Amino acid sequence: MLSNLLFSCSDKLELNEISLVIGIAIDKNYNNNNIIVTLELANPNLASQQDSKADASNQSLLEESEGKNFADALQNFTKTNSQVIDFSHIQVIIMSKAICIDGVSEIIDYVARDRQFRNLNWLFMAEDTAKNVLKEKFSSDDITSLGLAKMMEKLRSNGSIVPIDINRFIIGLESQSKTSLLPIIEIETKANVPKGKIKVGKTAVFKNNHLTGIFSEEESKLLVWFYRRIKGNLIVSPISPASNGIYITLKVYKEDTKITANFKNEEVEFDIKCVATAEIKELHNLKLNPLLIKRLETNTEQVLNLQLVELINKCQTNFNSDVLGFAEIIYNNTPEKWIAMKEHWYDIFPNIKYKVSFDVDIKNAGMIKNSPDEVNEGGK
Amino acid sequence: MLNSSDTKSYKQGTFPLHSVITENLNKIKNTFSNCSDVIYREFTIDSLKKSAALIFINELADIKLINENIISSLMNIKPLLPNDALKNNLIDIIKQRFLEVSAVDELTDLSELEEALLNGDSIFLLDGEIKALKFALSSFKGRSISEPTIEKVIRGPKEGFTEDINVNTAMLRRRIKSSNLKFENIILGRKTRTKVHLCYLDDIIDEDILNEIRKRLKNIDIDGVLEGGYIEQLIQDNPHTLFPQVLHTERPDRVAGCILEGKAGIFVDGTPFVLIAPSTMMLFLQTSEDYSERYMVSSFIRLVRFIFFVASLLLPGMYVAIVAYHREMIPTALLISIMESARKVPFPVLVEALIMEATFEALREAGIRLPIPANQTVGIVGALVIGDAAVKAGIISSIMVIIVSITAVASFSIPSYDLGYSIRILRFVMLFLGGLFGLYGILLGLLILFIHLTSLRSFGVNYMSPIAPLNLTELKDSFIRFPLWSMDKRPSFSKTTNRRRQKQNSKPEANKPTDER
Repeated sequence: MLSNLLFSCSDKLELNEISLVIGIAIDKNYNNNNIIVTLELANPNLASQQDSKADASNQSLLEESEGKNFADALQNFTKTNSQVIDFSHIQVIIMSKAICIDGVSEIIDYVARDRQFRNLNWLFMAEDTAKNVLKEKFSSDDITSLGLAKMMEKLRSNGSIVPIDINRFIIGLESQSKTSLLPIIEIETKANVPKGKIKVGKTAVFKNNHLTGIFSEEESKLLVWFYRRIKGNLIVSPISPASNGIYITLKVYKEDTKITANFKNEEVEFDIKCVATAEIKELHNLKLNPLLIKRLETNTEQVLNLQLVELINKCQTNFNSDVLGFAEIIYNNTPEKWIAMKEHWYDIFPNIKYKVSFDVDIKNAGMIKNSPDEVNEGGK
Repeated sequence: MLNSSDTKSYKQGTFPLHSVITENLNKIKNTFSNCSDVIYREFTIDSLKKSAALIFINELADIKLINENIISSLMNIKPLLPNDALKNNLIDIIKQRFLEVSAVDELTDLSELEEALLNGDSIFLLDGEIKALKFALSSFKGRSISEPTIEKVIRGPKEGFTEDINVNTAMLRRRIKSSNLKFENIILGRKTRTKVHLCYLDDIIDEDILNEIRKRLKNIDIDGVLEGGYIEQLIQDNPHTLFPQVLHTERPDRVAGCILEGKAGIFVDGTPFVLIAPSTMMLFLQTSEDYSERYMVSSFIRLVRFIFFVASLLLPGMYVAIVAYHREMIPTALLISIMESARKVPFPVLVEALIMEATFEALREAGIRLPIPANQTVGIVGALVIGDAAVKAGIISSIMVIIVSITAVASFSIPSYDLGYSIRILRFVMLFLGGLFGLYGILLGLLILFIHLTSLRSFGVNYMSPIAPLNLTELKDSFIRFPLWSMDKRPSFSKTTNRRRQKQNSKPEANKPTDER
């Protein structure tokens, strides 16, 4: 009776019996094709010694383990660790490029299936080895994984890349186009600085579990237009800076994107309508007036149009990966047409016609009207 | 209500006074044998040529008044007028012509006489008369009116009830100047013969509730009623519950407020606490001050009080449950800092919480019992031992100290001590449930608690009302307090005819003359 009553005690763990995992880095051992898993563990032992500031930088510990596959490697931690490893607070999972090329389904499946993992962890691909990323530190955060998670949280509402959590990654892979994205972490090293710097800018494209291509930083910013619920912004200069000392910069905020599929004689054509607002950030040697604003708006629209067309072209020709979600749109709106296209979608995709149109509205000129050095002139 | 087995007492109405004074005196002396505090003053009234006696209990009767007013006027009775002789009832003549006392009563029975004596009245016996006189000149030097010690308020009257029931009823009468305010006198206790007043406004209180209270009070037949709590335990609806179903208060303004809502007050002689029935759960979470402050302020205070009421019940249990079973619910950064403080603790978190809670209960109990000079010492020792040393020694984690302190502070935000006691016990139950079954256990515990609470009644009124059953108009005076002008109806348990308690549109703006300039 009592043992029945107290049965639920069996999964009780005291706080000093667990090791808290905050980040996982997954690498490949090229010698034997094993998987190396590096865990970033919270290190309460050192952090509580408040007197010695020197140790404060070591708030996390790195533990490494190797196994035939991901599950095996995690299992092997118990052989070297006295404490129970707790995954419930994991923030980021970083996979090395080699793993991504080989295929990520095994890891993603484990993570999605396991009870302790939350599917809101951020996923990354490391440009080089994933372990090295965890070795680096943010200047403001003692725990690299926590810092990365915070960074992604900010980028989600106001960012230059598309942050991807496990859910979104899986949704991408399971969608009709079978493609997904992952932000790439690079470690930027400078000659005279001993330590590297973590940088998230590029985006990796996955198709059917494998890495198929990489978008540059500039292209990554534009991906925002195709992802709902992510508010992005980017800096655009509608007029080339060289001309007569005139320069101007706008910050463009994504408001909405509407993609519609139009069918004409069995040919599908996409109409991409993007709505954005903009804010003037820099304005020099120019008088602000309604006419100028109108001109700026059309110029910005043209610049953005051009950039987006380039991006779509790259998706079609270089990667042949439908990260733009065209397949999903056909599937959702006209499922009867999709049945016919489904089998040979990637034969159709590179040649799909599309039309991009932008609607930019300058809402805000900032706190001042004209440039400070022109104020006197304007006051006459 | 006299005890039949008690041989020395008289059954009511069966022992009429004898016309020979010595006979009566002997009977009384026999009844009060070995009672050295009963004083017999025997004397002769010269003008009547009759022997008389004055009997009273020392210090219960006002000796100064007896000396100055009664003895002197009785001894100096002038010779009778001629037409007085027509009346053969001397007692009546004395009562009408010679006494300088206002409260005089006639007694004909020894049992009445005994009761009057015990209540502090003085008895006058005259030879040849089968009637005695009772002078209500009782005086007992009780505590003077002072500020309530338990129920303190910032805004509101600073006087509290005393141990003297007459003073208490007078305090209430002064607040409600209405002839509808009734004080029904009931004597309870075989030996203590305690005066109990059932107090209510007869045009507001519901007859059924009143009859129920009367019935239950009349059922009480015990040796002693020394405090209202004796009565409370004998009249509450469900004797086997942790929750108090009768509120007690020492504030006259609070009693007045409750009586105006159609509740009844039970005054007990010898205690400054007045019982309020029927009482709902909400009543225990309110103070009289809630109505004195403006409605936004008191709503805020009530919400704070309610939140901390819940916290004092659940906080330790929730903490233990979350830390032991549901770590993923804690933000990562917070969890890491909790882990830091719990790193060296050798106990499971449940044991840790139990140690701390038990220590706190001990400190609290010691604080009440200790003499005032030692009180401070315990405070310091407690703060040092559990606050600092235990954490430094690594026996207790610092987070646990914070949790227990918050719980302690929260438990003092419950205005009623009675409810506070039940919450204290339930807190341990929740702690065990949380430690053994996690949040699942706490939810189960809460479920059982709510089922129990909704099953409770206080004199037929649902304990959880107005939440269950839901009553929207009464919710105006629950978690938040609506403005006074919007609470224009009395609670639903008051008399059903005309429940309106103020004129409509009492809202201040509406009173403004619109076209005055």
